[in-house]
Amino acid sequence: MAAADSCDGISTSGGGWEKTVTLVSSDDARFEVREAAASLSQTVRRMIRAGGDGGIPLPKVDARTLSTVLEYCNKHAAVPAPAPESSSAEAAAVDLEWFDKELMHVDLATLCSLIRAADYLEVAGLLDLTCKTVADMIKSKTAEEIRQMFGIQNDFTPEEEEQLSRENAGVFE
Amino acid sequence: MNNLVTQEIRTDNACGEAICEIGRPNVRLEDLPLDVLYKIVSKLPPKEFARTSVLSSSWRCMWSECPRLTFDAVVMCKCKRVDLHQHTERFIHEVNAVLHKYHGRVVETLEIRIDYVDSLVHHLNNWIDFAVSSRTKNITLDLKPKRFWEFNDPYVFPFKLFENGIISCLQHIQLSFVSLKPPSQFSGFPNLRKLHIQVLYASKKDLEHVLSHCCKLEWLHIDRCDLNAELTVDTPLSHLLYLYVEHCKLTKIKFHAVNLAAFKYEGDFIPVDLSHSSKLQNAYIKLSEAVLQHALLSLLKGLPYVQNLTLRIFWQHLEKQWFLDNPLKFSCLRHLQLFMSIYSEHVDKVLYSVSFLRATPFIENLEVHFTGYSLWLADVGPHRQDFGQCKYNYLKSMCITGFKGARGQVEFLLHVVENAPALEVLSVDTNERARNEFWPHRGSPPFEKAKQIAITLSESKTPAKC
Repeated sequence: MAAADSCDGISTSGGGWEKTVTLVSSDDARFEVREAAASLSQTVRRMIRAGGDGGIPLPKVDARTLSTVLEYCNKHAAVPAPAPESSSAEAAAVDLEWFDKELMHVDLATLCSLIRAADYLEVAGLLDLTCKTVADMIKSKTAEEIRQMFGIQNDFTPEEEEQLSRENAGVFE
Repeated sequence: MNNLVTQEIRTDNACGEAICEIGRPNVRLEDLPLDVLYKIVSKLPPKEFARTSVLSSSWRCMWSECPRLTFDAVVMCKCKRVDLHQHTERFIHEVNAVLHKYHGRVVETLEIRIDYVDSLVHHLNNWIDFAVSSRTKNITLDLKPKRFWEFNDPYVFPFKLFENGIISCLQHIQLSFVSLKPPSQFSGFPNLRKLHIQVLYASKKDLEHVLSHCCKLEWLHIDRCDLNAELTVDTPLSHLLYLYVEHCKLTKIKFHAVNLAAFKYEGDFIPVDLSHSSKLQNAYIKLSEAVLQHALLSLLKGLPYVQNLTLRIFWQHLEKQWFLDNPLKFSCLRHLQLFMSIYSEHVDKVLYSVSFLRATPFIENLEVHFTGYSLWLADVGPHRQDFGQCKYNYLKSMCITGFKGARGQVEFLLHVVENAPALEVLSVDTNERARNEFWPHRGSPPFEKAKQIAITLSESKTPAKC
């Protein structure tokens, strides 16, 4: 990978055998993290390539959110790639699934911060996971329930709403 | 593992600042970037996804503004069509790159236009697969062959990719140079409104099978699809409003479309049966060759309820037939436009075209456009006294262009004027459309003489302009 051969300029303080990078959150918290994990973020990966001293600034992500993002990255980057048919591969997949599920046990506000962070940091897996979680929250709820949950202002007249519902019914009858 | 996150500095102040967002009472999903919102809603099943459009106008907006992806190889590769085959690889690469970007999003329209080569099959299948998973409403596949005459192995429309109910998203399909072989259990495109097929490779059975299973179809255009057989769709297509059949080798057309409003046909003279279409407003018929009176009888049977009719026969013949005993009438026809090409062997039969008028008792507006150099002052053929009277009580306006003073034209004009008590406007035009016509003799055609005849005719009859 390109990241490995172009990280000379960044502050690395790893345990010798594994390179690490330092990420700096919007509120100046510093996180030292394995490069392999940080590279799950395409944004960070590009910044590693660009080089720089004193850590990589991430002004759009606060410490609390970043720590969750990195928890995700550490876990997902840690999984080695064993032979796909081995039983340990299956176990690892199940383990990851559990981990993801646990990670998503957060309130909606945190979830939204995570979506924003995953979008900005371009962590595709996490963005997918969080979006799916929100979609699951929307599923099988009435329009009014969804509006309440997400603070959506209904600006349709009752007639308009009625007509839209009818249109939908027509398409999916 | 020793890869835990280490937090080296963490001041309380900074922490408080960052957390303030969490304390907000209302989480507004709408504050998320549009792209992300797309991503979220596209993970919903189609029905639930559509339901989000009723949440608010901004959600409605997002729902309706799904992107349109158009890939036209000629435009993208900036080359002439003849060189297109050199750019196929590049085209494939670019389409794949863009589709990758839109993966997981809802894409309203997917349009692919490229010269077809065998190596595209795999990619086209992938792109259609993309359209299926992106809930695409409009699909266009325009896969022209590089050379028409070398073409015998077209792309086969992948019906199997549309299983699992996703087929209900499709509202508009355009297929050019594609082969259609629906599986026998194919149950139709339930929400298809618009279908445009061009040079489709399909058997009579397959095409009829597909058409009779598109019950919501509103707009159908069939262009150059040679079945060499009848096209009969007996299943009622009650939503069909517009039907256009163009240059297809067919032996008959039959549709059961009670609400059809417009019908357009260009091609050989074949029987057309739209006798169920009682609300037919406009029909435009352009035949390559026919006897006018035969065309009349065929239209009377096939389009009895047409309100506005245009008939144009490229190679027109006339018979010495008045059809005085013809019982069939156009019961709704108000406006008739006839384009009459008169060849020299038919100059003496112009007046027989009255047989058409006699079948239009409710006509209000008549336009007859003549062409043919042999008409100039031709003094041959029968007189209007040779057949019985016929009243056109509702005729208000008549317009004749290409008036060349031929006896057939003069008698035609007088017959109409004498039998149309409500006639308000008569317009006779001697030149205009005839200016550029072929003229085999010396000098220019006798415009002045024809004009003189027209003026003399009209002076005694009705207010006219020439």
